[in-house]
Order: sequence, then C-alpha cells, then structure tokens
Amino acid sequence: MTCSFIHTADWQIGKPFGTIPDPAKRALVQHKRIEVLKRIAQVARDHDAEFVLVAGDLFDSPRATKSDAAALCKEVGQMQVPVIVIPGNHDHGGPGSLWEESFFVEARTGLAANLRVALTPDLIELDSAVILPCPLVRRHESSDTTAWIRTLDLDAFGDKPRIVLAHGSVQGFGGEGGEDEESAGAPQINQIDLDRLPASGLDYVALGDWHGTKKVNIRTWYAGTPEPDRFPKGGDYQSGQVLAVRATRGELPAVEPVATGQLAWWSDAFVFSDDASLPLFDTRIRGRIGDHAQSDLALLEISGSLGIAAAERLRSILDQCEALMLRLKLRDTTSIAPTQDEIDALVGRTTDPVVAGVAARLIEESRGEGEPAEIARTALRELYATIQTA
Amino acid sequence: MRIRSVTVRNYRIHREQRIEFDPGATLIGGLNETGKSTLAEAIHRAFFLRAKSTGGVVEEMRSRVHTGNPEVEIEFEAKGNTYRLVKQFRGASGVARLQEVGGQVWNGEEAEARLADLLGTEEAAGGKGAAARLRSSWANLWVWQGTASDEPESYAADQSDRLLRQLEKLGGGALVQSELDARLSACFGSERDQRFTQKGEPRTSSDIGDALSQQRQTAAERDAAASVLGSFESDLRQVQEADTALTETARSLPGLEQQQKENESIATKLKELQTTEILQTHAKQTADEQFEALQKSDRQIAAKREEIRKIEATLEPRKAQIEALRIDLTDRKADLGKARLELESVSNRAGDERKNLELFRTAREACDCRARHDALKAQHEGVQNRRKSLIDLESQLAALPSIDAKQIKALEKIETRRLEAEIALRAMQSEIAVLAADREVRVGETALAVGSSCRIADVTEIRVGDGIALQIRPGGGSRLETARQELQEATSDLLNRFQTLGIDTLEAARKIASERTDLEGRIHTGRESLKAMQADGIETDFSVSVVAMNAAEARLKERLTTWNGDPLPADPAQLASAISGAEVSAQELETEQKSLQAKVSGALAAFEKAESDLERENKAIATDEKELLLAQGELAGLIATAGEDAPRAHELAARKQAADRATAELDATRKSITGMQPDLIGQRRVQLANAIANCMQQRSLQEEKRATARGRLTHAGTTDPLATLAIASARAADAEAHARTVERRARSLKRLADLFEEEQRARTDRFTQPFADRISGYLQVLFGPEAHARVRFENNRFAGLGLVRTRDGGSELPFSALSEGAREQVAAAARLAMAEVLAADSDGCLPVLFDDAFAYSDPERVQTLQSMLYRGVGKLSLIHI
Repeated sequence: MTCSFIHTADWQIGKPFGTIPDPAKRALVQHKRIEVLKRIAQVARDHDAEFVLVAGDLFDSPRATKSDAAALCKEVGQMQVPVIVIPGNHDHGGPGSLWEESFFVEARTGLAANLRVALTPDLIELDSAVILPCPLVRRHESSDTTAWIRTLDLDAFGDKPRIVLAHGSVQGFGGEGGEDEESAGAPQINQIDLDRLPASGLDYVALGDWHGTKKVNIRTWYAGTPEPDRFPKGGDYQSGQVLAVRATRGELPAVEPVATGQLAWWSDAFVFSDDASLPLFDTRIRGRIGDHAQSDLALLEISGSLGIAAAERLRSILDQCEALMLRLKLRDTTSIAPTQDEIDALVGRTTDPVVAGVAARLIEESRGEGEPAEIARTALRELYATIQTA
Repeated sequence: MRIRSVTVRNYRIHREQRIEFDPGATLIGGLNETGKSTLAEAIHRAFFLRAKSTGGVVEEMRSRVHTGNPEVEIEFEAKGNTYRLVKQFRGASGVARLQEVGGQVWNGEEAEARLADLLGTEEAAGGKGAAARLRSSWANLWVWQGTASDEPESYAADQSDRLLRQLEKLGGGALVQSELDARLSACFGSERDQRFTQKGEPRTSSDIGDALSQQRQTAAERDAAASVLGSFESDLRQVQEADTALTETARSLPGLEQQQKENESIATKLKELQTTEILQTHAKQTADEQFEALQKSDRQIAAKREEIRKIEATLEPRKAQIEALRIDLTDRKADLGKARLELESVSNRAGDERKNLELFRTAREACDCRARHDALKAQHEGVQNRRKSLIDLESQLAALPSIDAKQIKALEKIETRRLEAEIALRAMQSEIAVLAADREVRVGETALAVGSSCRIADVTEIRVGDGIALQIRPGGGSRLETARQELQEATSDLLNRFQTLGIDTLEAARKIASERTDLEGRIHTGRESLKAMQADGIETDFSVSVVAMNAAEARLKERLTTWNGDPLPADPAQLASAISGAEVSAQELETEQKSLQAKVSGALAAFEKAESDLERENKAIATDEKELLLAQGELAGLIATAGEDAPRAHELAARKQAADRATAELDATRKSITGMQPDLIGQRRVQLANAIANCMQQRSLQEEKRATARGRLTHAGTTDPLATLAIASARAADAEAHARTVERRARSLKRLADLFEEEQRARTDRFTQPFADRISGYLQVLFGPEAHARVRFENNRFAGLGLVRTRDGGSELPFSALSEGAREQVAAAARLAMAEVLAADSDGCLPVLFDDAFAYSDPERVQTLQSMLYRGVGKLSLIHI
C-alpha cells in the first residue's frame, strides 16, 4: 500500500521576534508564519495528500496564546485532510502546556476537527497508514521517545506503511547543529536513537527540530520550517519548505521538497578600507534589497574605518536600509579615522584658534584605547557636524 | 581723552569754582568739607547724568547757600578736538550744551548723544535707576572716597570686553577666540549643562537621563517577565518533582507493608510462648512453696528439740544454789541490828555535851556585855552634864534683851548726834549770868538769882525788875531752830529705842551687849568640846550596850532553866576553860558518831543485796520451768502437723523432686522466647509503622504539591510568558545599547565643552599676561622687583587679582587677604594698568581720579606711592584729591 502525505514541522507560531524593534514589522513577520499554513494547504491539495504530519513545535511556546491557537486551528481546519501532530520541545506536552487547556480544546473542536494531537505514544491507525507518534511531554527529555516502538509487533499492521513521527536530535546530527542553544550544549537531551528502531518494519521517519530541510538517511528526513525564522548559519541550510512524501510498505519513500517560504533572511559582510569604499557598499546593499522592500531581513557585518564625514554618510545609508527592510541586524565594528583633509580642516583653522586647539587635543585622544578614545572620536564627529551646520 | 578744566556754579558749597588740570597730574588739596569730593562728583555727573534728570539725584546737587541751579562746565579734549560742555541741572528743564571749539554746537539730546560718543560710553543715565547706573560709569577711573580698597572685580568686570579687545590689539591682533569659537563654546557648554549637573552627574531631565531611566525601566520589566517565567518553570518543575516522588512512593510502599506483616506473625508466635511461660511460672512457684513449707516444719521440730535441751541444762544448777542464798540473808540481818544499837548510844552522849557548851558560851557573852556597859556609863554621864550646863547658858542668853554690837553702834551714833545737837544748841545759846542785881532778874519766866546763869536758846525777854525789859536774840537764827529740832529728834529717837530694847541707858545697853557676847562665847566653847569628845557616838554606843546586855542576860536566864548542874563559874577565866573542855569532848563524840553511821550503812547494803539475789534466783527458776512446759507443748503440736520423722522425710524428698522439674520446664520456655529477640520485634514494629506513615505522608504531600502546581499551570492563554520575556529582554537590550550610545554622545559633548573652556582659559591667560605685567610694573615701584600680579579671567570676564612675591615661593596672595593699606595700593596699581591699556582706545590718554585714596597707607609709603602714580603720566592724567 502507498500513501501520499505532507511532512512538515517547526511552524513556531507565536515566536516573538523581540529583536525587531518596530511593532508593525514584528507583527508582520509573526503573521507570515500563519500565512504559510495557507500555502501548505495548497501544496497538500496540489499533491493529493491524504494527510498532513507535523513533527512538533507547532507553537513556539508551551504557553501559546489563545489567539495564536485560534489562528492555527483555523488554518489547519482549512486543510481539511487529517492533520496529525505531536508536541515538540518548544510546545511540549505535560502539565502547563496548552494542548489540554479548555481554550485550545474549544478552538480545535470548533475550528479544526481534522486536527489530531498525539499527546501519548499510542499508534494511530489510518486507512492508508499507521502513524507511530513520539510526543515530548517536557522540554528536556532524557529518555528516547521512540523507545516504545522497539517492542511493537509491527506485523499486526499488515500492508500499511508504518510512519514514525518524532521530534529531537539524532546521533551524528543535531548535537552541535541543534536548533536550541540549550540542547546544543547537552547532547543527551531529546535524543532519538535511529539505529535501535526496527528499520525493516518502518517505512518513513518524519522528524522535526532542525529548521532546515535535511535528509538524514534513506527513509529519515527533517522537513525544516515552512517559513524561515532565522539567519542561515551555513551555506547548505535550506529552509522555507515542506516535504511531499509518497511512502509504500516495504519500499523506499519518495520525497519532494516544495518551497513555501516568503520572507528572505540573508546575511552579508563588508570591510571599509577607506572612504571611497562607501559608495560600493551602498550599491551592493541596495542591490540586494532590490525592489522587494519590506520582505527582507538581513544580517550585516561591517568593519574597517571611515573618515568623519563618510561615517556620517554610512549612518544615513544604514538608516535608509533599515527603513526599507523588515529587519537589519548590524554587527558594526567600524571605527572613525578622520582623513587628513578633515584633520587639516579642524586643526588648521587659524581663524578659529580655540576650535583648532580643541580639535588637536581630540585627535590626540582618539588615537588611544578604550572608552576615552571612543568618546574623543564621537566628540570629533560632533564637532565636525556642528561646524558644518554653524 | 583729557580734561582741561572744570567750572562749577551753585553746586552745593561752591558758588563758583574753576579748576584747571595739568595734563600730567593735578593735585587738589584743602581742608575737610571744602568741596573737593564735590568737584569729583560734579565732573562725573556732568559726563554721565542727563541734564534733564529729576529727583533726589538732582536735588542733592543743589546748593543750600547759593541760589541758582547747579551748573557744571567742562573743557576737554577727545578724538583730536577740544570741546566745551555745559550742563545746567534744573530738573526736567535742565540744559545741556556741547560745543566743539571752533566748530559745531549741539544742544539737549544731541549733546548727550555726542558726549557719550566722544567718551566712548553708553548714553548718560537719567530717570529711574540713574543713581545706580551713575556709579558704574567710569567706575574704574573714578576712585570715589572709600572705594580705594575695593576688589578690582567690582569695576573691572564690566570693562572685561574692552580690556580683552585692547589686549588683542596689543598682541598684534591675535584673537583670544573667534566668534565661531565663542559660539561653539557656548553651544557645547549649553549642551553639556543640559545633560550634566555641576558635579558631573547626569541630569534626570535630559536625553541621557531619559535613556538611563528607560534602561532601568526596561530592565525592571524584563526582570518582572523573567520572574513570571520563573514561576511558570518552577511550577513545571514542581509537578515533575512531585511525579518522581510519587513514583518512588508507589514503588517502596508495598515492600514495607510486606515486612510489617511478617513482623506481626513473629509477634503472634512470641505471644503464645509468653502465655506458656506464665503458666509454668505459676506451677513452679506452687511446687517450690510446698517443698519449702515442709522443709520449714522439719527444721522447726529440730530447733524445738534443741531448745528443750538447753532449758533443762540451766535449770538444774539453779535449784541447787537456792539454799545457800537463804542462809546468807539471815546473817546479814543480824549484823545490821547490832550496828544500829551502837550508833544510838553514842549520839545521845554527843547531844548532852553540846548542850553544856552552849550554856557556857551564853554565860560568857552576858559577862562581856556587862563589862562594856559599865565602861561606857561613866562617859555617858560626863556628856550628860555638859549638855545640862550648856542649856543653862542658853537660857541665860535668852533672858537678855537682844542687843548686838550693831545696835550699840546705832545707838551710839544717835547719842553722838544728840550730843552734837546739844553742843550746837548750847553754842547758839546765850548765857546770861546775873552778876549783880538789885532787882529781880527774870529771864523769860524764870527768875535768875544773882550769881547764877542761864542759857537761852530763843528770843527771850529779860526783865530786870519792872522797868527794864530786854530782849535777847541768841545767834544762830534758824539754825537754832534746826539744832533744837535735831536735838529733840535724836533724843526722842534714842528714848524710843531704849524703850524698845527695854533699857534705860546706853551704858546699860553696852553692858548687856557685853554680857551677851560673853555668854555666846561660853556656849560656843561648850558645843565645841562636846563635838570633840564625840558625844553623839558615845550616847549611841551606850544605848546599844544596854540593849545587848539585856538580851544576853535574858538568853542566859532561859538556858539556866534547863540546867540542873553545878553552879556556873562566875570567873571569865574559869568560864573559858569550861568552854574549851566541853568543845573538845563534843568533837570526840561527833567523830565516833560518824564512823558508826558508816558501819550501819555498810551492813544495810549487804543485807539488801542478799535479799535481792535470792529473789532473782527464785524468779529465774520459775521462768525456766514455764518455758520448758511451753516448748514441750509446741513440739507435740509440730509433730502432729508434719508427721512423724520417717514419713515426713519421705514426703520432703518427693516435693523436692517436683519443684526441680517445674524449674527445668520454665527455663526451657524462656530460652525459646529469648531466641526470638522480642526487643527487635518491637523496634521493627515502630520503625515499619513510621516508615509507612512517612511514605503515606510523603505521598499526600506530593499529591498536594502536584495538585497545587498543576492548578497554577492551568491558564486561559492570554499571555505567553516566554514570548513576553523574549520581547522584554530585547527591549531591555535595546534600551541599554541606546543608553550607551546616548551616554557616549553626552560625554563627548561634555568633553567638547570642557576642552573649549580649557582652550579659552589658556588663550585668555596668554593674552592677559601683558595686563598682569603692566600691573606688576606699577606694583614693583611699591614692593620691589620680586612683586608680581596675577590676573584671572573666567568666561572672558575679569574675575580676580592676586599678588605674588617670588621670595614667598610663588604662592599667590589673593587680593582679599591683603591689609587695607596694601589693598589700596594694589588696587591703585590695577586701576592705573587698566586705564593704561584702555587709554589706547581713547586717544592714548584717560583721566584717573583718586579721591582720598590712600587713607590707610603708611606715610612712609607716600614717596613710593607718588612714584607709582607718576609712572603713568603721559598715558594718564591723574587727578588726586
């Protein structure tokens, strides 16, 4: 028997994006994560999916709000086919989580009758497949949530494809690449031991936790998050996708990644060698932003040194870019080194002897180290600017 | 500019006064109150007070002695020309006129304006506040009375700009600062002051203050969100912990219960054994008792037999001894009777002898008493006689009238008086003697025969015959009467006394008095001699001896009534020997009596002892016999109860056996019990009960903990603490970064402001050095080459002056620390230097006026002061009042 389904995970609905200072932009980025569910529904229709599996972290927090719950349930309801989900480490089950609270139950029964939340490791037999859910009932689980599968008598399921639905890290992967900074340092948490699973009795392992789409082995995949939610760390990080899967009993699954993400998260770096490099920077950045303003989030690392005037212009360029984007994360280690002309313009002012004297002292101080030198450089900038406007 | 002359009219004391000024220096001298200072004022007001001024400032210029309005006329040079200024002050209609000599004329307002322009000052003061503003005009040049030692700041600060400009020009046009410099300095200074307090702390109401406060607030919000999340996580943890604990409890409880069951079954078994033990203990007890009871009887029988034997042993000898005791008693009785008879006879004889002795003693006593009595009698009679003669004398004395020497004296005195009176009278009397008469001579009434005489004391008529009558008045007059009276009084007095005393004459009195004296003497002597012989004592002793004698004789008489022996010896010696003989024999008899008494006592004691011994023995025998009977009875009883000897011994052995068997059974049971360790069972029971209780308690605690935490975790989904914290943390981080940026900028602005000020100060210091040097130049005339001035400018305003003496090591003495005299001089130096600098802008010359400026300076200084003042001549024209 073959079944066709959508494998997705890590929706992270309700993620706060606190580092986006503008509340409107922040709300937009948050809302994108709900919007993507519509596209998932479309993908499901396009691929005649019989059901949708969500491998954990539907919400970003076990205390997601009722408005987020309602929004999610509404979209899930629109998918119409059964949507089978497990709690991940972010939206783990257990006491205090939202899954059994009345507001969620009401939203689900009211808006998403097709939503099935597996809070216990009990198999779910569908017409065309057997789902083996491995829910997380706490944020840090020291035991293997898939252990219960090892002792199952899978033969009882006959011809139906057997699909594991789990959330966590697997050996050789996820330890250092785990999404959570917490689990990155403690490899014993939320570990899934794939080797101990009865490989011949299983047909697909649908994983969640890693936000990039990743094939672990011939039948084990991370779907990744359908809408990117962070700056990529490596070159082969691919997120903003769902997986359309066809699984057949006893055979290898056919997996097709389908793009669903809208927001672009990109990063770049630039070194200013001198004032002349500033226009090059300007061109490059604007080129990358292109005409799709208000849908980009960028991480910029800038370093090097500029003269006073150039530094002011850089500031103004960055302000403009930030306005055009949803978010501009800066790692700015540039320093101000006044050009010779600028120095002369200040120090050589014979008609303004006090200014000249002050400027000379500031230039001297700015050559030092630490906060006093920083203050001196800032003072030079202020002096320069005030003189320009005076 | 230079003043050439001034003329004042109707200005207070001055009617009309004109002074011409020397271009170099002018000295105006004069006595006090001659209007010198008024001149200084007049010039100043002419320059700086509007002619049309009204009010007190004008009124005070008016002269009280001269009519007319105050008027001041000044000739001065300025800007290359000579001018004449006339101002008449008469309130609102005041007049001002300025004439350029050989040129233009200005009147009224135009004159005021042109004048100000020439002087290079603001327009003259008028109207409200004129007086105050007036003072500040040319304050550096006009040294008013009493302001000589004022701090230079008070007049120099206003001139700071001018000074600096001049100094700049002197320095070849180099600026202290440009206009941009000044503007930027002010701008940064204001930016700094907006943000920081004087102490360098950020102001709360500034961008840095806001940023810091925002930082604090967001940090607090983040902390609050963290705390909310913390509670959530803590509740989660509690649920987890409770679950773990409950699992543990569920695991361990059944094991404990099983142990408890086992322990209880052991306990039951133990109980059974213990019951058996009790029964066996009773059995043993019974067997032991029976055996012991019989054993006791057996022993008692043996003991009783022994007792009987003992009694019989003592009884025999006793009975044997009884007879001997009886015989002994009879003997003792006989001894006692004999001793008693002997004693009685001796006692009687001793009694008789004693009676004799008493009689002899009494007789002797009576003898002694009589002898004593007789001796005393003679003495007693003597005393009696003396007493009798004494009484006699006293009665004689009593018979005499009591006339003592004192009274005699008094009488004699009166007698004397009488005699004197008589003599006086007689003296006063006249004696008439009839020598021959052929007729009857009658003196008064008395006829005087021939050859007789008489005395007359009074006026007396003397008749001779019938035909001659003479009157004689004896001399003495009234004194005669007095003497007569005197005589009469004395005589009567004397007679009265005689009568009282019962005598006739004084002689009689004397006689009586001497008799009395004699009698008294004899009486006194008699009393003395009685005292000497102790008459009272003798009388007492005598009466005592009488009594004693009578008593002794009475006693003797009594004793004699029972005496029937020989008559008593009358002789005391015989009596004495009789007495001693009786004493001796009485003594002997007494001694014998005593020894016989002792003998009697001894016999009595022996008898009594023998009596008691016998009695005792009899009693003892009786007792023993009684006991024997009793014991025999008891023995019979015991045997009756316990059985005859042989059957009894048999029974005893059987009972012993039974007791031993019971003991053995009991021991076995006890050993079994010990083997079960009964203490441990109890301990275990307690431990297990505690452990189970703890377990259950823990279970319910954990269930409660879980329920509570779980309850708290139930939520309605309105907030997500994780998201809230994430946003709050991001905001706090932003606020912090923002605060850092704002702070850095603020500090950079402060740095700029501070640097600007430092630069300005350094440049100002450089530019004002020439000014300080000029002041030093003046000072060195006074204080020598080691004196230097230091000036201080702050924000382009003159701020202070100090004096440095290089020999003092370069430390600066502030102006205020100088003595008054020094201040006058240093201030003068400063004014001169300042005027010198400013003069460059004023045709190279300025007037400086000193009004009484060196009041506090030493007279010795005057010379050097003058040198200093004249140093400025050329650039300054000095006016010294």
